Amino acid sequence: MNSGVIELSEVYKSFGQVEALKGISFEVRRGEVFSLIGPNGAGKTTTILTVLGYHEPDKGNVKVFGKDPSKEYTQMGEKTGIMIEKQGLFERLTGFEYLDLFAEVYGLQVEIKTKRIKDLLEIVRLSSRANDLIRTYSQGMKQRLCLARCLINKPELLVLDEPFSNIDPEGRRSLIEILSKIVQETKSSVLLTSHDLREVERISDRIAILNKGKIIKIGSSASLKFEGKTDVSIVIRLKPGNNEAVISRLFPNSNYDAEKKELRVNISNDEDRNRIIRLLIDNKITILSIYDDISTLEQAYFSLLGEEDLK
Amino acid sequence: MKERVFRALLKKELLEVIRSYKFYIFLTVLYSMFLEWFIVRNYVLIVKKNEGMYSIAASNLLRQSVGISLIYVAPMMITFIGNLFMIRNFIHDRFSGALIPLLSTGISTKFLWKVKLAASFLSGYAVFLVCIIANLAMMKFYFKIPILWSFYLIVTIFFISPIVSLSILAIFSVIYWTFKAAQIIASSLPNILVMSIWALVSKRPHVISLLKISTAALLISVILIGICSMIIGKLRRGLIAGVGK
Repeated sequence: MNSGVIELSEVYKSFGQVEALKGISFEVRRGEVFSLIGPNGAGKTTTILTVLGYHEPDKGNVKVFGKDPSKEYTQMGEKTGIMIEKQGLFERLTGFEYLDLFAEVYGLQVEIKTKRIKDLLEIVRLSSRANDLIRTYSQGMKQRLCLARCLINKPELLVLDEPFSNIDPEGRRSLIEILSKIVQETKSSVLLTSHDLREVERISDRIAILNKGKIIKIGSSASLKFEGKTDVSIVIRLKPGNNEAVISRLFPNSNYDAEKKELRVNISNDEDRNRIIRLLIDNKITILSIYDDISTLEQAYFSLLGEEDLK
Repeated sequence: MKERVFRALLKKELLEVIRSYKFYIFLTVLYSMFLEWFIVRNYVLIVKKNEGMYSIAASNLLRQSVGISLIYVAPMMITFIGNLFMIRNFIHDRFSGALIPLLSTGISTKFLWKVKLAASFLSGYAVFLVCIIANLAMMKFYFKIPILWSFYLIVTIFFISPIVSLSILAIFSVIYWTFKAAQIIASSLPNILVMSIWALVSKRPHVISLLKISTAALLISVILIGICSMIIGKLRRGLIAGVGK
């Protein structure tokens, strides 16, 4: 059974008159990268802080590794690595001293501690600056150090709140590359929030769109695009010499570029794609290549948010 | 295991304090010498005015008073510098979000409080020792007054007075982790405290019964530290981490 590492069920949380979470439910499965996206004030950080046990829900259940994080947080610590929007670094320490502190707190054995720190500094490309004070680091370097910190205990779960904020595009690219590599290698589960939809799409297995404290949709990037009713089409390159009349008859509403020999057909789900390919094969039309020409997650996101606002 | 974590966190706090406050530490030592100079100069003037010249009794009274005046160095200096360190350890760490990664490792809020309080106190105590050495040197070489040491005086200066300071720091720490406007409190409380103690010591130093006041102060301090520890244990983790609304 693939039980959830994080399980939220009908969680409500208010701060005075403000309802921050209005009955959200989701689970993060083992080895999965699960992202929460949504506009500012949607409740992403409140969700993260609830998962980490800093906020106790007014109603509903939160379980992390099967435990209540607001009460049993001491048992979650060694399995979890966190990175929050506020970096919260101790800027008068050096990068090495900072990681050493967390290695000690996690109780790493002395003989493996130094090697682990050196390895992590290497992974996050900070080896050459390991003995410099953190206050002299750039924002991107600080983010990478935070990532190294949350990996020091080889956690089963990474909770990352806005890990790509406040860094330049190059730093962001570097961070996402490192993160993708680590997730692939360690098979850790990841709960991520971000405004950067392109990066979210690249790294996530499933995405939840959060708006005004409610989850609007949960699914893979592709399924969100379908649900967002944004244009998804496949482009099929055909072998010259195919019968164009047959193609026009089979796909009367499609767009066929006779010069390029490219057929563009709108689809609404994965089954449509399979059906079209079968149809072409059955009619003895030779296919050279197929690729999806799909809209971005950003378009789907705005479409779904727009629908929600109209309700 | 817990000792190792305690040592690691203590080392971090001390490193940060040393790297951030070298100049303030130097100023604090000078400040303590100025206060002590001011107090002792008054004693010397009073003795000279009443006796015309030093008699043995007046000289002994002076030596005793100067010794007693050193009792106040600890509450003043440990509280002053310790509070300065706490602004970094407690307030800055809270609002910069630095407590969240630490508390998410699984360590308890009470444990973290103990480490931070110990770090503030120990750094303050180290500065206090430097202040005492500087002041003793000033007595010996500038005023040329040998202090009349006694067992009670030593215990009070080096143990009871610092414990009083620790209890004051403990109260401050609870305030800093409970209220959001802690920065304002941070700047006003120690000043009020230092000025009050200064007013007390400079006006009526010879009237104070050392043994009684020390014992009472010690008892009250231990009770206060216990109460503070209980309060910290009851505070919400989110509030301490600076994410409570």
